[in-house]
Amino acid sequence: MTRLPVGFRWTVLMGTLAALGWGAPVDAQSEGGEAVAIVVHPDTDAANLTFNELRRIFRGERQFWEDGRRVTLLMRAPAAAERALVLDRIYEMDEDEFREYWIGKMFRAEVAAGPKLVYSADMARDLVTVIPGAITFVPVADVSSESKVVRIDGLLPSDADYILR
Amino acid sequence: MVVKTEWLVRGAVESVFVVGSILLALAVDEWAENRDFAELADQSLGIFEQELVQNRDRVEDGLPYHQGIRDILGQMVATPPPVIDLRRIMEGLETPVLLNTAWETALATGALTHMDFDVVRALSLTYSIQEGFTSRSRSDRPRIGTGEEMSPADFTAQVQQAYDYVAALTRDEAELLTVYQQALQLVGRYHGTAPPERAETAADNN
Repeated sequence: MTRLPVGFRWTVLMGTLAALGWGAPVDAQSEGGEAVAIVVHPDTDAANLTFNELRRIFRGERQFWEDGRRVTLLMRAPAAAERALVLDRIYEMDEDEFREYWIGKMFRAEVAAGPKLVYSADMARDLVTVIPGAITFVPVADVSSESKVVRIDGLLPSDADYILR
Repeated sequence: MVVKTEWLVRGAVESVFVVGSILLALAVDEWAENRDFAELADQSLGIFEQELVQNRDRVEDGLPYHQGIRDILGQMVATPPPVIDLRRIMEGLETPVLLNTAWETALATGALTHMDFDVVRALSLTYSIQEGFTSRSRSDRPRIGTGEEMSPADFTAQVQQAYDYVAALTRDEAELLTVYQQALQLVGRYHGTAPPERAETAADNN
């Protein structure tokens, strides 16, 4: 069994950091002040989540849906307004703390891998409909008719007291 | 004469005791050594099991995402997207980081020589397949051009190339999951633990 070359190890490390959003390009399409919808794969048996359940899923503390499917968390790249909102409200972390959080979890083998990075709302919306068990967040304006939007504490993004806005 | 006989008998008895003691000491030493080797092999099997579970979980975690990317690229082959979209997809694509620490440690400590040959053969095969997967996922990865220098036909070819790469990646991942599962069953049999359960995986939907 040969050892991996140092260059490849760096590539892997940088790739992991990139997945966690370090050094990723700024998304010029970011918009602020808009509600963010939590979207899941259409077959996922979850129409309503409590905010606590949502937080556990996003923080990798709950990794399987009730039907046994693995949760695949799709995260927007840094600088997207919706990512900043999710980090603030759900994770209560900044980018550095977020990166440290996931690397720590991987080092402790509490998760197999960090969130999967997506570079646009379109990509997040498209991927969540084709990946069983996927969950993501998109600005409410990017929600399509095929998207399955989950209620948070019984509220939809259109409701006044919705938490992710 | 009687004294001489007694001396001979005593000498013979003492010799038997001395030789017996030496043989017993050697037997105890060998037993202790065998027990140490058995413990080393068992400990290594436990480490192999942990590592295989971790690697399996990493592949299992990434497979649905890669299958999703594959399906989207499949649609893009028919309707090529803007170059930037393809670049973003391929830049965001991560292949799982798989460990081979248990194998390297077992080689270094000589633990493999104290394991059953069937287990060693299965582990060797597993890590060879894993290494081949890691190597292919790195070397076969297509580089997407900027678009400025590409004709529409060239770009379509790049989309196809990206699709082929991700399709092969998902096939390899599904195969690797099967290999891990079988290796875990075998290791569990010798280590005395049942193979850890796995949830319904994307490999089942492949």
